[in-house]
Amino acid sequence: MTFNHEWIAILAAAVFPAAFLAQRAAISFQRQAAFAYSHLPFLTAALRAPAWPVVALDAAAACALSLLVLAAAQPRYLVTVPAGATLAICLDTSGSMNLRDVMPTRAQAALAALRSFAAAVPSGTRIGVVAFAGTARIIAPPSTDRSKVFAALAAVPPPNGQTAIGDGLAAASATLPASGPRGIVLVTDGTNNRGADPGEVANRLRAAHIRLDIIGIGPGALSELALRAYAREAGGSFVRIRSADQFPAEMKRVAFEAATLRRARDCSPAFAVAGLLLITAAWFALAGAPRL
Amino acid sequence: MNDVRRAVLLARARRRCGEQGSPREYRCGDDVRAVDWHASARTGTLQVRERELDLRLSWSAIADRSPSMNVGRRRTLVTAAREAAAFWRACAGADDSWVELSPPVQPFDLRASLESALERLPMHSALLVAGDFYELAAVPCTVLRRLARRADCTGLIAHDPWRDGIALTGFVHVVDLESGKRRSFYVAAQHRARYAKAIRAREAGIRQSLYEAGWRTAFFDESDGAMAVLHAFRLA
Repeated sequence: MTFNHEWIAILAAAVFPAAFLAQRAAISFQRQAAFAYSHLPFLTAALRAPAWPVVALDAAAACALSLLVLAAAQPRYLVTVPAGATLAICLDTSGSMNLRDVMPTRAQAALAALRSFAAAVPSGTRIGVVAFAGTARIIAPPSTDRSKVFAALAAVPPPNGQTAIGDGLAAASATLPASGPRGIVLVTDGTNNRGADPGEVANRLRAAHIRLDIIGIGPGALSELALRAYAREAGGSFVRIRSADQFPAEMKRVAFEAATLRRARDCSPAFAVAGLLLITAAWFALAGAPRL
Repeated sequence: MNDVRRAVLLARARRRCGEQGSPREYRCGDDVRAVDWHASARTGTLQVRERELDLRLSWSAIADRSPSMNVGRRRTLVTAAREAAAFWRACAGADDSWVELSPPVQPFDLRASLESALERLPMHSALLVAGDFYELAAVPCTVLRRLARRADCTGLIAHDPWRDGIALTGFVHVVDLESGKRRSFYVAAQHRARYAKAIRAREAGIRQSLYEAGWRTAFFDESDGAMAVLHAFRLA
């Protein structure tokens, strides 16, 4: 939960104990009419009434006051909602993806992970598939139909060729709409050695507010620093996968971060209503106090 | 009032049976309470023992005026206690004397008042104490007993105005009339039942303590303090 006016929220945290203690102490100074009795110690011993209801009432009154102060701080809570995003999977199909350091091969492990990614993203998210090696190729444009996505992943060509990361990113961004939540999930195992400069493409992605999440595969040579910088520039994340069992959790995380939005919802009316209800209940509890 | 005086003398005479005069034959008009049944049984005729009915008495009264007595539904217990003390004073015979005890102690202290009475009251006194006796626990039994030996002591115990049921429900604020302290309670039906039981136990305990010390006791409430005096002597 966050607050528009945090200093008021801090004040509210201090209000509760102060109001509670003041309420407990105020009984000694209250000028309201009280039941006059001859000998309070005898009455206390005779009634043997428990103290907790009175303490609870004082706590409720103090809590009500704190809630009202908190309402003034305009509390907001964050909810995660599907962004209705358009995502482009950009898969490296260079020759090095045949290596078996990530079982069964880097390419097969990546495809399996991308299938789980497509299944994990919220419905309503459009997913397209782009593959690149020496050149980039659009396998399937973005679609909400998961069967088409799975079919596209099955149609990815076998690994062969060089690594044109920049071209792949450019092709992926070309499949995305001009506006709305958009992202690219790049899966690669190497360093750009052909085609457009990925850094420049990443700058264009940043300018267009397109998120870039990069998954680096394999323990081998990988321009990790550069890829991390590209992802950071474009407001996304970078993760290095060294074994296949790391994929499920990371793909789920990327699916969540790329395809959802966190929205702040104002809950100050709820605080105000709760505080007023408590105050009203406390007032009714005291209003019926008899006098002789 | 004369009946009260006579009752005080009779009570005193019963306690001092060794100093009584010799019995004589009953004459019409003699008080039947003066009949000496043992002597009558011995002689076969009604015999009365001379009572010290002409003894001059000293009268005194202590009316509890502490703040705890300022309770009552229509009028306060203080008013009733003062009424009882005034009636008590009126019971004194023409030749009797009234002993004003020490000047009022502020605040009222039962133990100090009784100890003052013990110091100042002469023998053959009649003492009335009317109050709520909340401070009775602080009074040593010896003081009560010594007073009972020195004087004819009558204790009028104030009934709690709410002994039949305290009408408190839910959250209540209570202020102590003695100390001014305040406290909040949550009172339910079971608490009210406990209160009624505790009040009865308290009043019975006070009565028992005074009785064991040799005092005559009765209860009074806000309505009529004078009548309570008569009740104490079983004259009403």
